[in-house]
Amino acid sequence: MFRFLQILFYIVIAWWLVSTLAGIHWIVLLAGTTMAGTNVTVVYMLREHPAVLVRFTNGIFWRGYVHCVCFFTGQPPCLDGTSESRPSLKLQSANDFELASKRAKQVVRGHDDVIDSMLSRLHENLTLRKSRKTADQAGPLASFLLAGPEGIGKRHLSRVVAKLLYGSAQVEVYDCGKLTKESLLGTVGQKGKLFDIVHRTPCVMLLFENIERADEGVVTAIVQLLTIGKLVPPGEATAIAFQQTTVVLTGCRSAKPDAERAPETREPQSLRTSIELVTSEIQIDARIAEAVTEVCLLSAPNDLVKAEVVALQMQKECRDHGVTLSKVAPEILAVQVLQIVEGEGFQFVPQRIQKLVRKPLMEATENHTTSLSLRIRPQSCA
Amino acid sequence: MSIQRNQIVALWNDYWFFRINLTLCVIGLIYLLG
Repeated sequence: MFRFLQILFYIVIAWWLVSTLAGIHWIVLLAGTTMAGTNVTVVYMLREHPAVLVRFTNGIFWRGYVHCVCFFTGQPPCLDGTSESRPSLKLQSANDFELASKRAKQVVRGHDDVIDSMLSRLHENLTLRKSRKTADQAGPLASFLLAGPEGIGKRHLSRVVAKLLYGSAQVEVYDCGKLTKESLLGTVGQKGKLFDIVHRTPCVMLLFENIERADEGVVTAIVQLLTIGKLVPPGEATAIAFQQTTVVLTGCRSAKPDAERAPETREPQSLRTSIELVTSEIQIDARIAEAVTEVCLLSAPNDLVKAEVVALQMQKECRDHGVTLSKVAPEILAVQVLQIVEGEGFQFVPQRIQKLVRKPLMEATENHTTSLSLRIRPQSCA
Repeated sequence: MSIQRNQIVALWNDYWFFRINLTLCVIGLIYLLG
């Protein structure tokens, strides 16, 4: 009844407007009606078929027009027809991706091939998406399955890629071991937090950790997200698009060094080989391994990589206190490297470094020195 | 690409801009054609 009255109210208002304008000229009315019809069409296209709209919004005028409609409707500009040319993505050209790869390798050590693989898949998907004529069946920007031992920096790697791709290191992390379908998608009348996040910031990285522990409902939702790129909140008719998100799934793989693996498993030759390896080593649903864009196998870091990570962490800790770390004795690094045990990886390295440099930093702060050198104090003979 | 009733209902419910423009469009067409 309320809806009927609401519609009647709109019709009366519109009728009054049209009657008022009728005295001017019928051409003005025709133009107004055409304008209203175009608005209706653009709102519909923005919501349901944004990629089709891209083909018809090439000029500056049409881009501005679409942005105006976005402003009035509150639809995220990221999903509009012009998002491909004025994106909230920081990486566009091949050169951007090449530079990003170099930057990522400076802060993430020991996973150079994985960084190359992730960024090249993102570049390929972005380029292909621009040339795609329809938006149907378009999944997220890219999806990756990172399989590797605990604590080797999978989350850090995801944050770095998110920072480079979206300009924000915001990563929505979900632990699949604690996740249920209800906590992910919500219930009837109460949408899950995931939908709010994606509606507010469509360009976001979603990280699902320990995917091997996910229950059936969560796996089905993730597969739908990866294949269609849309999820429907419970009890609602409209699907929410995840087409600007990047999805990263992580799985825990044994920390066996590459040298101990069978020769054919050291360097997977193709995506098919990677999928077979992952499904044989991790109890993971085969649908997920098939649906992701790329399966990346991360190996346990060697001692050199561990030393580099420890050194970087020391530098960061000192830099945060306004002190430059000029030199570290190799023995100190070696001791820290030996403390990194398999199974926990780099998880507690920041805490150990904080304890290690606490006293030297205190002395540097008290003496107002800006440079610090860490060395082993010689034992006194007495 | 087919327009479904639930898509239009969702747009009608979500956006005042859509409601006003659709109403204006329908009334304008009726007035002009009539």
